[in-house]
Amino acid sequence: MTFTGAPLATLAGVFAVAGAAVSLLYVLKLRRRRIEVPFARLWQRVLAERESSSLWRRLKRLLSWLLQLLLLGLIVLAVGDPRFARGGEGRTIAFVIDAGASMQAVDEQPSRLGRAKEEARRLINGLGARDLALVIRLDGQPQALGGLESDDRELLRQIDAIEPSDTPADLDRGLRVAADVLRGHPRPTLILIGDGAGYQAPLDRAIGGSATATATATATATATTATATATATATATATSLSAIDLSGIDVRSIPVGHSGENVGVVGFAVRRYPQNRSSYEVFVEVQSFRSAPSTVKLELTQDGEVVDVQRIALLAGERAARFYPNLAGAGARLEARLRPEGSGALDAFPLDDTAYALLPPLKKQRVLLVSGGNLFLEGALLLDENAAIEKIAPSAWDPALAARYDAVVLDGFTPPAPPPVPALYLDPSGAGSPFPVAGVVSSPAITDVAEKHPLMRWVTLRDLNMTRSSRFALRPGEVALASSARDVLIAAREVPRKTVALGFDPRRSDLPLRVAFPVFLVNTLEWFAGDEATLQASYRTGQVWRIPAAGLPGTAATVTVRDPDGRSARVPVAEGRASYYGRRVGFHAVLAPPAPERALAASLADPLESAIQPARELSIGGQRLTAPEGFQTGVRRELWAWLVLAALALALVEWWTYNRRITV
Amino acid sequence: MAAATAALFDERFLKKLEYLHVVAKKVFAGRIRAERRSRKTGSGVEFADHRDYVVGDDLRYLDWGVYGRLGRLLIRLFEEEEDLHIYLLLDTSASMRTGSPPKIDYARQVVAALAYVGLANLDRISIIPLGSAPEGGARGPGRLPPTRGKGRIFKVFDFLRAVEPSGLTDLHGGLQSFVHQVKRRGVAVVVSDFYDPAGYEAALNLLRYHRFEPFVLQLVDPREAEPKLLGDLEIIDCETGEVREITVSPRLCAAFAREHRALCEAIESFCSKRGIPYLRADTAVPFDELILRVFREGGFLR
Repeated sequence: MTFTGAPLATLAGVFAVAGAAVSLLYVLKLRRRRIEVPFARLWQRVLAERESSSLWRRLKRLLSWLLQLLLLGLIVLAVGDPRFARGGEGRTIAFVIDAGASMQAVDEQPSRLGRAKEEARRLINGLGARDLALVIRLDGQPQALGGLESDDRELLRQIDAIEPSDTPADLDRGLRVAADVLRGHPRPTLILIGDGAGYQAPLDRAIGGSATATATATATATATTATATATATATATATSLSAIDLSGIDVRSIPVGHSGENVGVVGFAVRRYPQNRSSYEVFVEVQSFRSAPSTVKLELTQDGEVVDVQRIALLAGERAARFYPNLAGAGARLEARLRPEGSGALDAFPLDDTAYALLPPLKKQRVLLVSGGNLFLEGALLLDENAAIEKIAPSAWDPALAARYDAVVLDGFTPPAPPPVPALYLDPSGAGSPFPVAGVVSSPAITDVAEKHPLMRWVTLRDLNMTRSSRFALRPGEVALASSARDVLIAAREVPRKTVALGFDPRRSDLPLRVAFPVFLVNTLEWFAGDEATLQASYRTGQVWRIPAAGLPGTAATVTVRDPDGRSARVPVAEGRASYYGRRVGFHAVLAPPAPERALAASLADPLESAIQPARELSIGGQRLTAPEGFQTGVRRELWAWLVLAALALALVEWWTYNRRITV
Repeated sequence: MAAATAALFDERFLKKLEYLHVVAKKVFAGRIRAERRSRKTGSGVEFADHRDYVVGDDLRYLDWGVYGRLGRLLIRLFEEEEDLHIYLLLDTSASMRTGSPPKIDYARQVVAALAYVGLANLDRISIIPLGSAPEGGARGPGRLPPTRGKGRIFKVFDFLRAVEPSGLTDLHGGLQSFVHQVKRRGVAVVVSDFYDPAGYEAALNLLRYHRFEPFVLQLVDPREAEPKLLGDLEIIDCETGEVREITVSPRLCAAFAREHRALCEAIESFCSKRGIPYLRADTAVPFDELILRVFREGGFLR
């Protein structure tokens, strides 16, 4: 018996004081009601018969006093929160509970996660009095839900609070977190509760574990464990930095799930055609994880309306891709949904049956061209169907006017202050240049092009001839798009607003004669608008999403992201992007008033997570992980409630006997 | 208290008394005033019996005819007609103060009613308080001397109003002084709760031995007979002031009720064995009903 509440010495003190008080109250004379009777002798005659055995009467009073002391004793014991103690040293247990996407499979009732939580509850109810335990939620961002606890109610509360996540489980990190907590504690035990899908690879990187732990489990001395840990740590460091050190830890596993039957959408992408932004194309990839051929219906919807339905026959393990070119429609929200061929459920894992994507918004860009007259430029700009060009002379320049446009093209004109909207400078000069002009280069040849940059897609500048060009001095955050040796000729930056500058006048080069010129202009205007190169059609869960903050108020330090469940999170904006860890699949909303609400789409789209076949057997270093032992339900049952109930029952008995005048 | 006592004998009360008188006449139809007969040699005219002559008997009552036929000296006995003396002996101990309403109030009404009926029958009524207080002392009005005639009822009322219950119950002492002081025999109605530590037997026997015709009226308050008490109490005897701590349970209450019932039954048994008319008066029953029961029971008026 151990006391997890007040210590025994305190309890003894409380009992002594309270017991003395009870005894004192017991010997105090009772203040009685006075009643006048006409003939007391008659009462005496009655009482004389009743008081024939005064010994019994005294005994009854003694019994009553003892009953009061017993009541007090029960209550004081309850305050001590006694538990039945099991012999030996307590264990330190980490319950690592997989809450990843695959745990939402419904081959267990109500789900794999539900089953895992049930198993965890069963084990927690069987903890010994001296055991300490910790709950670690294993998903894309494994996290300990509390400290090492002996209070099983708190542990159960943590278990109940675990919610499924739509992210892959990062077992590697989960094991590291558990090992870090357990290291140095007596009899460390790690209990892995999950479906085992994708566990073996991280476990193969683990050192020690069950084999060592089984050996050390018999040796209870902490010193031995510490020595073993130290030795194993040294070995681990020597072996590999990526190894997970589980030496000295008794690793156990409880597998959940029994079916791997699944068909899922493993890839979903959508984009508008650059030359015809009203049309778009969609790519869907479906994979079967079944052991037998199957047929599914793939349904493509746009804002809830069915665009296309295809019947796909899949062999066991086959992956099939479908391409939908030249689609059109006003809606922006696309869903690829797998449906069963007949009636009934498609598979045991509904999460990957639907993938979500978002079309970039269709919007005509208003562009202000400030030029003294440049037919090459005007002609090239007219090619962009998505842009409405308005032209003014440099003398009519007004920043307030520019603010009413989506972008500005400054042809050989450099305003003293940068315009308040994205701007393309052609041959800027003077102090107003967006990139400081470090000098002039004569007849430079383009040597380096940032081909990966969205501005330079399909743009070829090889053998470009020009008479002269300014060379820019770049500051941090600014990108060189084209350089001649070390001289930056074309530069771009995103912060505080998108700005692109050509160091030369196109008319003094052969650029206007090349295909690259209109393509570069279209790329620039699309980049200003935030085209699909920057607006991701669909994010993947379990990753940090770098959400472009373009279109948001310039001063916004944070934005609010609301997930499909309606839960909002404030995320910081840094370098023009908000970083948000995506947990849920579906459409998210990005809120940054007064800017209008924007949407984001997220899908699981992870073949590894769609492979939900549970691993029935896991091993570390060839040693099979076994189910945990030494958890006896009821061992740790709390006694205080029973003690209080017993005290209550005694009080009721005492009350009844007193009122029936049995104990008085 | 005085006002409450005055209210006992109000107009309604007088009307009730008149009604009782009428009823009493019906019950005892054919009886005329002073018709009560005592079986003793005396001035009566109706022969009753013979008895042997003893020295000292009046020779005038010798039955010479019997002597001539049988040779025995027998004295002729006649029913003597005389006034009836009714003594109303009222217990005025402190225990009569208890009850709800107080037993003494009930007793006052009962005594007043009996007195009225007696006065109306031209009997001689006397009221004697039985208490430990000295006679004529500060506490009581002494006794009401024998009086006769309906008109004297107000004197009875005044007397009863002046009676204040106090002191210990001492039936034996009170009756002893009564029998020694009163020469004329008659009906002695004892109105009491009989809560006498010394017992009632010797007291009632005193009346018998002194040739009174005792009539016992025991007043019982139902709340005293079957108390509804519970819990830890300190009981105080209202007469002796004796204090006792008790814890009353329903079972103890029941035991007390049984004990009280046994006391009442013992008094009744004692009386019935000795031919003493006995009535147990529940103070919850209206007094006029009790009076009618008295008449029906007989013994009070013949």
